[in-house]
Amino acid sequence: MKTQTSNEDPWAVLGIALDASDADIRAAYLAGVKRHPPDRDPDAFERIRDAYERIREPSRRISLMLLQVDPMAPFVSLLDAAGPAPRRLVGMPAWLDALKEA
Amino acid sequence: MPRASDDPAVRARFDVVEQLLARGEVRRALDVAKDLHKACGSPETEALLVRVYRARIEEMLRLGMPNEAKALVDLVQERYPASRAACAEVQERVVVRSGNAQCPLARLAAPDLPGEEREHIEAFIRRSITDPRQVADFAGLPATHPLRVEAAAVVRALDAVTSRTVTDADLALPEVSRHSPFAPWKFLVRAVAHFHARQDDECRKCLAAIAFDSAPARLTPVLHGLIEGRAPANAAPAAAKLVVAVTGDTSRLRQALANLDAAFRSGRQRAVMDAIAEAVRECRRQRPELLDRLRQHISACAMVVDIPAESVRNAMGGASVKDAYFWRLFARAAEKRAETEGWVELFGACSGWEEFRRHAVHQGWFGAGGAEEAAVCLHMADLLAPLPLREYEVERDEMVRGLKKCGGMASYYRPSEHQPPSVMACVPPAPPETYFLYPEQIFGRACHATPSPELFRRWLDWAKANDQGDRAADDVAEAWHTACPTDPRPLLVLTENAEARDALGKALKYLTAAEELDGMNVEVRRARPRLLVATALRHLRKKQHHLVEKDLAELGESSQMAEGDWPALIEALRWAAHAIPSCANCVDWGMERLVAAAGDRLTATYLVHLVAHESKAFGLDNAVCDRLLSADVESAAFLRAAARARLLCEAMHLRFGMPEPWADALPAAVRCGDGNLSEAQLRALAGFVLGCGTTDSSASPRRMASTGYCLAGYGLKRPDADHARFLFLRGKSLLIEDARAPQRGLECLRAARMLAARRRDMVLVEEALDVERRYRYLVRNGSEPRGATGDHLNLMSAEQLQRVLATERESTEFPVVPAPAPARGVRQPARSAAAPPPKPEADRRQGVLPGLEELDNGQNELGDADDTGDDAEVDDELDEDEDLAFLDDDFVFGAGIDDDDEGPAPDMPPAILNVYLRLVAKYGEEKADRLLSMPDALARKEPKLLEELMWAFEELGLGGGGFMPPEPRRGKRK
Repeated sequence: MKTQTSNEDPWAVLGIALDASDADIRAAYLAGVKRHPPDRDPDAFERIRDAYERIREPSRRISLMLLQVDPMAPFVSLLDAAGPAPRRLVGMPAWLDALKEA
Repeated sequence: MPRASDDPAVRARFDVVEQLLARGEVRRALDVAKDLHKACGSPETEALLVRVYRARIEEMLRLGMPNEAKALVDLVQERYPASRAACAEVQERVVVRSGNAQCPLARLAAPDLPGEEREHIEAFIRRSITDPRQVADFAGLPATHPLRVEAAAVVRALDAVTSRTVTDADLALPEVSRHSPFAPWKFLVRAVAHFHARQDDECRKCLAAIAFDSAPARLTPVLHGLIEGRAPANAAPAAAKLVVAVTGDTSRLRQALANLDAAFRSGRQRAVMDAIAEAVRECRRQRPELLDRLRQHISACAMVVDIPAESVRNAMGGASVKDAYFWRLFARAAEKRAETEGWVELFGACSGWEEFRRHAVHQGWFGAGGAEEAAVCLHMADLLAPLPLREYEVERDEMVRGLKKCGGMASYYRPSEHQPPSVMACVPPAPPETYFLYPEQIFGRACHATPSPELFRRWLDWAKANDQGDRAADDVAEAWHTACPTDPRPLLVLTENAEARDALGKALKYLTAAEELDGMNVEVRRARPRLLVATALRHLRKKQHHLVEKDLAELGESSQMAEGDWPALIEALRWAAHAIPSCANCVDWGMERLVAAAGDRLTATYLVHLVAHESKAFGLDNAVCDRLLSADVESAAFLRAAARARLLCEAMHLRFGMPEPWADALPAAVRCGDGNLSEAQLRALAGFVLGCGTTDSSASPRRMASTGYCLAGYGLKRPDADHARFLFLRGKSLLIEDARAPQRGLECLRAARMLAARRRDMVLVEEALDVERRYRYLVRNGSEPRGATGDHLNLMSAEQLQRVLATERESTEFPVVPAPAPARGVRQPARSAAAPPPKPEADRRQGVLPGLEELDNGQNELGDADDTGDDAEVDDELDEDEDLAFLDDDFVFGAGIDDDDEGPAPDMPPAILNVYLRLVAKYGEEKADRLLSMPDALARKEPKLLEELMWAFEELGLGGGGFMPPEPRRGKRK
């Protein structure tokens, strides 16, 4: 089943900068599919392949760069597009408290 | 001896205790177990009671009651001595949690500690010590004691991985051996490090390596939950708190954003402001890294729905960052606004794209002067290109003045906006740029950034489509030639432009340059004979007959002129050079040689006619026509001659059509068969008859449409033909003028596009799209589009395509809509009794066309010439139908115009009568009637008269502008 990936920022999915060259994009794609092979992690593989397909060709990449934003898109899509929240460093005591009570 | 649990009643109470424990109701389970033990007092019930006590002690530890837990464990061990072994583990944990770990640790300091006891204490440490600081800081052991050193190393590493980004050296922990009681902590430290580095797979591997009975293993479910982003089921309060602290809880932020969406939808400004403030507050608390993005989106959204920027900024607690991301949003928002507020908003969009371009280059999204910059420019050009030129220029000038007056976008960079230094480093120049409001300058920039032929071609198309004059197109071609000096295409454009201006010398000069670049180019090879023929024709027109021989000599030297019908054309020119200065009686001179070159007399005569017409030798032209058409002609030969002439005309870019009687004869000839025409000839002929406005014939568009329909059908039936092209022609024939089967026509066009796209024939794809767009625009608006875009451009499946092909191959009859029943006693038009009888069947079989005399005398119609019997009746119906063509329009103008056969009704309102008479004066009675029956046609031809008519209807109180349902045609007026 195809995953809903069209809202994701393909540059973010591949972990590359907006000015990444063709070679950088391909390298990031290959690294991604190596990390998430389709037989072990099909969803992640699908996301990576979809992201790569969307920005592989320079002309599509430029169009996407220009037109991918929709000013009237639901604000919640901002959260979805940003991906999971960053993991915060909260210090040792919080971890030890959790361990103590576990 | 029977056991207590063998009693079913006791067994049931055992089960109750188990169920209560499973549900976490430990206290109730303890009460039941106590009662059970009191009642039975067996070893089994005691074991059960001790197990429940242990569960209660662990619950107390979880709830942070270590002292109470210690008291209870002491009580249990005292009351039930047999339970000491079972309670050993829980007792250790109670000891550690109550801060009394020192007791076992202190024994490690004894120099004569037996090895067995040391192992026991180390196992206690592995299983029970949940805070390595208890060992690291234990003063009862020397600071250099290996366990204290190991514990201190673990504390340092754990502190590092939970507080900052770590290196491999931080995780090495060489002090901790794999046999150490702290070895499981090494894996925990590494798991936490991988977790923060988002290396979840590695994190899971480290968690799996932690010994299951060790103290750090208790954190494994919590870490798995953290990876999933949620607290594990039945997590202790501290674990749940840890999950929230590390991963954050965005549920409230999500709700706030949903509220914001709802507020924008409601359109109530107060609600929007409140929702903005709430969303910003939650975002700052839960996802502070997204706050800038959120502000930018809010600003753009507010702009689309027209909420004052100042209010939005106050609600957001600050301005949004004006970086490339913002300007892209800004431009897209302006494009959205243009959909509702009108195209003037597109100026704002272009301003936004220009700001985006500058910031994107500054931020390194892409380099200056590259393909990306060209793409931005082209996008702006695409926005502006379809705008109505006149109004556009007026509004643009006003916009330019406004931009210069207020400094462009400078207001977005005022100090009060508190923009970051990275944005302030990219302040727009003063005076502001305005190139982005001029498509020609935008195209120029794009082509400068990426000088590709496609971009220049688009620029050129725009210049031509916007009637920018020959000079503009030449400028584009010159720029193209400068940027791509080895490309012959710009030189060909210059050649064609010069040719169109009749500057043939200049055209030949450009062509020579193109030949030097690529003499084998097909277009280049085609251009020379065309130009040479045009030169010869011009000399004939200017009566410079002495120069024609020189032109002919040059033409004879050209290798291309030895192919196809070109030799015949040279002979025709030679004939004209002799005949024109002589007289109309000299038409026979050189005719035999010409006939030999042409292959048949008909083609030869047609070529002579063509040359005479193009040389403006009209007297000669008429003489030739008379000779040419005075004899009966076999239809197949007629078709071949017409098709060959059309192909030559196409090659020479001549708009020359056909003599009017020929064009009238064409439909009948086509219905006799395909005349063994080649595919190219079929295509040329069909293209000619379907090219609106290019025929010199008075034949109705629908007659020509049915002819094109028939020719396209011949092409479709040929297995190896270019079916895409013939489907296109078939579709076009079905959409011409008063389209009879528009849905079928549109399907043909879509099928043609699909087939053409498979063969990468993008020219045909564009042509088909253009016809479809124009048809849809005409249906909607009643006038020709200017850069209008179609919105129903979907293709079809392979099965649908095959179905369309099969249908069109089988459909040989042009669709005819039955005439409506006569109303209000109007007589049905019928063939006059004086009309000549149908031609004999024999004539139709032989495919013989009538002579010209019959045509001129009006005794017959070529369209009927080959019809007999039923066919003739069908054709009669066609003629009737053509007469009643206006009936097929949805509505006709009819209000206030009487149906009386004897002219306008005496009570016709003067305003309407005035319009009607002016139409009659200009177009004649019949055409005026037709125009009145076709509002669309009237709108195109006489918009002012239409307006007057509409006013008249309004004044008469006729709703809907006086449109009435269709009525039968009125009789002749005087």
